[in-house]
Amino acid sequence: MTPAAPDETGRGLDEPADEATVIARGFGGDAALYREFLQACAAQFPHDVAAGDAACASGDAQALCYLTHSLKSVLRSLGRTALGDRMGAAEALAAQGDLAGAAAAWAQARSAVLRLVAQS
Amino acid sequence: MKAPSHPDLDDVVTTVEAAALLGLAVRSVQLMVDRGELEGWKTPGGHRRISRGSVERALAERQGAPAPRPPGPPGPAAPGAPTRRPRVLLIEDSVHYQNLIGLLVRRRFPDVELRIASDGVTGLAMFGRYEPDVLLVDILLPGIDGAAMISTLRASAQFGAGEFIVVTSLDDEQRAPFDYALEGVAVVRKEAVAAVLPDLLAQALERVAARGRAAP
Repeated sequence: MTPAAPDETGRGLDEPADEATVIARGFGGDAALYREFLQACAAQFPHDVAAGDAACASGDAQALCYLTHSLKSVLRSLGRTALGDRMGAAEALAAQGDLAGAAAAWAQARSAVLRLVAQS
Repeated sequence: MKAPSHPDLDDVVTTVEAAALLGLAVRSVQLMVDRGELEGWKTPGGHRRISRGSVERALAERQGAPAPRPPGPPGPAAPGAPTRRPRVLLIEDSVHYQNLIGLLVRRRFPDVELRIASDGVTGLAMFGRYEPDVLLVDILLPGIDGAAMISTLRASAQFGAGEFIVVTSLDDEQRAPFDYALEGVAVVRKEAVAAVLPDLLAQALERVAARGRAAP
């Protein structure tokens, strides 16, 4: 089944991580380390969302590029591949100076990140 | 939580650094600040900053000791003298990877003293002061990038033989402009850091220990 494309709320990005695989491959089998990292991420994500929103509001494509570059890796580390890829799309658009496109991708991704925080 | 008017960087640690020093989760440190058990405040960006003195007092209380141990010189210890713990400096601007690497080091390398800098300029200053045995460094950093930093340090007589591990989210193509500085340096992709870094760090620390044993 093809995953649903994300709408403006980014709901198509909410695929759950295959935690067993993520822990085995990405965390050396250390489930406690994975969960502690996830908890720390959940505490930091709201600050990241605020920073991304501020970058969009001020038209700071470089700041948005830098932030989404970082979040891309974090989300992929947590097994949220589709969400990480959306951050990567926002990063690429911001790097090209397409702030409108980057902001649209960011709007989807940041909503999904906040839902991830609420679930954690 | 009120910020001091002119905080001295030496006297201030981040939440992640405090967590590493105290051997606690980041969230636990955040709660200690909120409860007033540690002296801290928030930056305009919402990040907590904590007085190093309050962390050291909390650490001494946790260890039942009157004061933290001053750092000793590198190299083999004199007979009967306390052995210096291995020192690792992480220069990384992502709070997420500060957290993850802090967690990794505390769990897998409990004897290691970890310090963290969030930008290249602060990191370079901390490197000179702290003289770490191993430097973990990101490439894309505010201030001085990690590749330039490694290139500079490797060219110096004092630090040229140091252990360097690069932690980056850049892929091979994106990393190409920095290859000039990375020959012979271990590089870890951030997405694999939890799985790969422990072995690389263990190997680096073993080389440091072997050099210490071989020193006259």
